[in-house]
Amino acid sequence: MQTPPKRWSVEDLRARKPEALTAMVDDHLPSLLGGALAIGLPRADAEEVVQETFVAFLSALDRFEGRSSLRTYLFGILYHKASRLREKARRTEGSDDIEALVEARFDSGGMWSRPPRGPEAESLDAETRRWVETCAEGLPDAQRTAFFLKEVEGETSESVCNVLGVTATNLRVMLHRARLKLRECLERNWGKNP
Amino acid sequence: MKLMMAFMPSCKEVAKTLCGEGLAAEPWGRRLMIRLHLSQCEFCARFGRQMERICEALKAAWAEPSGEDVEAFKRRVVARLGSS
Repeated sequence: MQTPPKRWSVEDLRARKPEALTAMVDDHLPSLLGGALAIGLPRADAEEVVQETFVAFLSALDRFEGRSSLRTYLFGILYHKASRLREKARRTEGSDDIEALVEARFDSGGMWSRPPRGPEAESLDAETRRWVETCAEGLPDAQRTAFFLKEVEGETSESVCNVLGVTATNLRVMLHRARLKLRECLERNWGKNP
Repeated sequence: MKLMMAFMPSCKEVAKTLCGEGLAAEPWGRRLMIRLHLSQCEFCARFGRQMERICEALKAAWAEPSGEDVEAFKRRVVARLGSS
C-alpha cells in the first residue's frame, strides 16, 4: 500500500501545530484503527490503543529516525500496546499442530487422500464470510496481525517483520500456518450456523 | 509427456505453494507447471479458490473503518495530541 504524501514536518509536530497534527492523524488513523480491530480488540479498546499510539509517538518524536516508514513505526507501537492489552485475556494456545493435520491429508506420493471440502463458489455468501471472520478470531495475535498487514494493508514482508520483530522465515511460517488454519476451520464449520 | 509429468508438482507441493507466498513468488517454469496442475486437478483448484475467497472475505471484514464516528474520533485524537 502506498504511503500517503507527508503534509507535515517533525518540527511542526513538535510545535503541536494543529494542521500538522490533523494531517498526520488523517493519514494514519483509519489504518491503525483497522489494524487494532483486526488484532481482535473491541472498538473502545481499539480506539484507546490508537490514541495511545499517537501520544507515544509524539512524546518520543526524537527517537523516530526515519529508518522505517512512519506507518511501519506507528504499527510497531500499536502492535506492542495491543499485545500487552490482550495478554490478560488471551486464551492459552495449544500446540500448533496444523502442519501435522494438513500433512495427514496427503498420501505418501503427495496426492490428496482426504481432498478439501467446503465452499468453492466465485463469491462467498454472507454466512460463510461470517465463518471466515470467526475462524480468524481463533488465530494467535501475531498471525492475525501478519495476515492483516500483508494481505489487507499490502505491506512488504520487510515492514511486517519490523512491526512484529520476527525474521522473514518466521513470517513465512506464520502466514503459511494462518492460511492453513483458516481454510481448515472454514471446512470444519462450513454449513453450520456461525 | 513423461518428461512433463516428471516435473509436475504433487498436490501436496501445490497446496504448499498456494498457502505460502503464492504463484507469483515461483520461477516461471514452476509457475507454469503449477498452473497446468491446477487446470487438471479438481481438488487443488478448489483448494486454491478457497484460499482466494478467504483472503477476499478478510479484506472486506478488515477494511479501514470510515464514517462520522471515525471523523469524530480523529478530532478527539487531534485535540488530545494538541494538549499533550
